[in-house]
Amino acid sequence: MASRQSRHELLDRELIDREFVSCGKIDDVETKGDGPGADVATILVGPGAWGRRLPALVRWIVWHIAGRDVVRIPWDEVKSIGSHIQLRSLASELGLNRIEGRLAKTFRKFPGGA
Amino acid sequence: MLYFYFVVSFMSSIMLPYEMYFYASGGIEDRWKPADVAINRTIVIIGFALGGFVAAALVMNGAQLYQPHHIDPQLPGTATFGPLQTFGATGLRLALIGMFFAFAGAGIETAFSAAYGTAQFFGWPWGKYRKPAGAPRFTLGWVAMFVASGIIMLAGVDPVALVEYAIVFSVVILPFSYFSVLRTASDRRHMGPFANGPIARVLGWFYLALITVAGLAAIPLLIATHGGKG
Repeated sequence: MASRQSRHELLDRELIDREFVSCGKIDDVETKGDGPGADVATILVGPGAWGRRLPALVRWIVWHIAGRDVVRIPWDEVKSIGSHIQLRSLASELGLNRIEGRLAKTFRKFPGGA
Repeated sequence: MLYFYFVVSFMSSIMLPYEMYFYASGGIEDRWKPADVAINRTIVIIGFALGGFVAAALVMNGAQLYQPHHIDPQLPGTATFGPLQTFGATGLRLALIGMFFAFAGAGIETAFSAAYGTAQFFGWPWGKYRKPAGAPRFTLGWVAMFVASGIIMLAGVDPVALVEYAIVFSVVILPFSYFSVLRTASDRRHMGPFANGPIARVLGWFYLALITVAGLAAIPLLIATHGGKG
């Protein structure tokens, strides 16, 4: 999968895992070099990544509420690029949707929760 | 000034941005195909015509029934006096049943719309076809909306004033939501043979111009008319 996508093109694109489950958005990327044409090496997901794009005061509030977690996904994980960006693995295998996983355990205790 | 305030409010109440998010999300959930375009056009045409007819009927009801007695209804339930006066107890019962379904439907629609919007913004799993454990933050989102709206109502907030403020502030952002939909609907790359034709485009741009003017005028009119109280 071509990694020469510009940061601008990739930011905020929705990620879906192998089973088409939404698992966040591309909140930032790391490139292999400098300059606008550099290859994307890693996708960053989480409040620690998107918080950096916010004004200082809002960032401070967000990081105090949501934390500063960042999940790093190697570009090789990208299977296809369309209206969504599909990954080769499951969200749980990549450390995505962790809050979802914890909440799901609680919901499974309720009748009709799962 | 008051007249224009109500014109803006009516225009906004015909098409609130959250309805777009709700309807579009429903389309994704129900996996609509090009074959569904015709039925959706029919629903929209009949729905808007019926909605406009009912809205006009309510305005006429207010002008004929309440204005001569200088009554300024402050509660949604006051609207039932119209059918009560004309059709008696049966009219009242029918009006109450209709209002129950309308309010319940609106409550479900807005709660889900908020959860859809939040989940899609952050890229969380969403959808009412998923069990709560399959989309837990989405489920928490719509439950939280119900709880929050219950608390707001129990706190004694005037529901009519709240709806008026919500409608006026919605029209401020409506042009932004509407513009993106209009552009997409006219784009042959996305819509193929279903893209808007010349007549739909002209009408669409005309309505955009109308709601943009309404959006610009909404807040000044809200202030100038003291929230529609003259």
